[in-house]
Amino acid sequence: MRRRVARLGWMTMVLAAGCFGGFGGCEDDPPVPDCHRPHTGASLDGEWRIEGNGKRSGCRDRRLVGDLRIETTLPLAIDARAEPASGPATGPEPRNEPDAFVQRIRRADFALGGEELPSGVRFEGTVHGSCVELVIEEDLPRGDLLRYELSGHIGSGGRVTGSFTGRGPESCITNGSFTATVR
Amino acid sequence: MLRQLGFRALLRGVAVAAAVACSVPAAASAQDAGAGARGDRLALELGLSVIIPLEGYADRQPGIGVEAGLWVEIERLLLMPTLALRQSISGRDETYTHVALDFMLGYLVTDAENALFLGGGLGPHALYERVYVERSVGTVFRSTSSDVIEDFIGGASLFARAGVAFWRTSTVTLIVSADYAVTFANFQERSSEQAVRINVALAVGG
Repeated sequence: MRRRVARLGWMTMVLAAGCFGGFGGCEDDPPVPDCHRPHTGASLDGEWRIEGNGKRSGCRDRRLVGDLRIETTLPLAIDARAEPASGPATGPEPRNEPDAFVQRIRRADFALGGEELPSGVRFEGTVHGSCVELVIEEDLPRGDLLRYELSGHIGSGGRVTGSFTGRGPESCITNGSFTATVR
Repeated sequence: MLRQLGFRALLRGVAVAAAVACSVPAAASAQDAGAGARGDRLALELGLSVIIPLEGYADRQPGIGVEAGLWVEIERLLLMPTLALRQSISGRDETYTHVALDFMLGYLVTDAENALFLGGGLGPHALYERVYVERSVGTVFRSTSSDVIEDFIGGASLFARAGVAFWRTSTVTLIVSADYAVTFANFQERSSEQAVRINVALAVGG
């Protein structure tokens, strides 16, 4: 009994050292988007508007640094195409095989893309269950590029919320949170 | 002994030559200019200025300044050391405060009662600037950053000045002048700031 208590004490000390020693294992990591939520990629077919807030840093031109607001200036026509699901099925655990069959159809993975986007703009995305990963790029003058990688989950009313990281213009790095509304 | 005598004679000769050189033109110019001429002068100078930035100065915000210094006339030579405090007045987020120690060397073009003068100067300065910046990038996926940039730096400034001194023979002389000033400071975006300054000052005493 005493040995077990001592072992527990050692484990606690090691864990505490890991937390406070800079290993980062116990920091407040952002919550992982829940891919098992009810809404799926089928609701993401339509016109997208995206807005968000964050920070821009690391720019050579310090006038580009600071609080950041991102927004689409016009609605983006995005297609959501069902794709064969990969990995474990999302959603509630099916009770029988027919339910599982229906669920695999309902909760298919989706690929997001735009056929009629403005020139110089690229939009790619994947949806796994209710989790969404997006990459958006826009060409800038003089060969520069704006690139955003967005990660979020689908909520009710055709809304996607999550966080983003990005690069550009020049050496800038961006991060923040976003909300996309699909109609 | 002879060497000592020779040295004294040389000194006496130089002194006489200097006295003649100084007194003859002064007397001549006094006769030429009549009532306008006056002797050397050391006066207190107090002034106000309006700053019209051409580049920098917290993104070209107009400002005002006060300055105090000396107005020194030696023949037609002017010396004007001043300490100036300049401040933006636009009331926007962009502001600056400029403290400068300027040393001006000038020349009175005429010896008249109201005399044009030309000059230039330099001196050290300290400059504080606060600029609100907002920058948008992208046309479809637009990102707009906003921030406040603050700088407090030192450097040197150069200026050229042209002006008129009114009522030079009075105890109080009015001095109206305009400067073109280049202020050197190591900002990240630029190495200098430029402005035109309109100055009104009084030289009192002397």
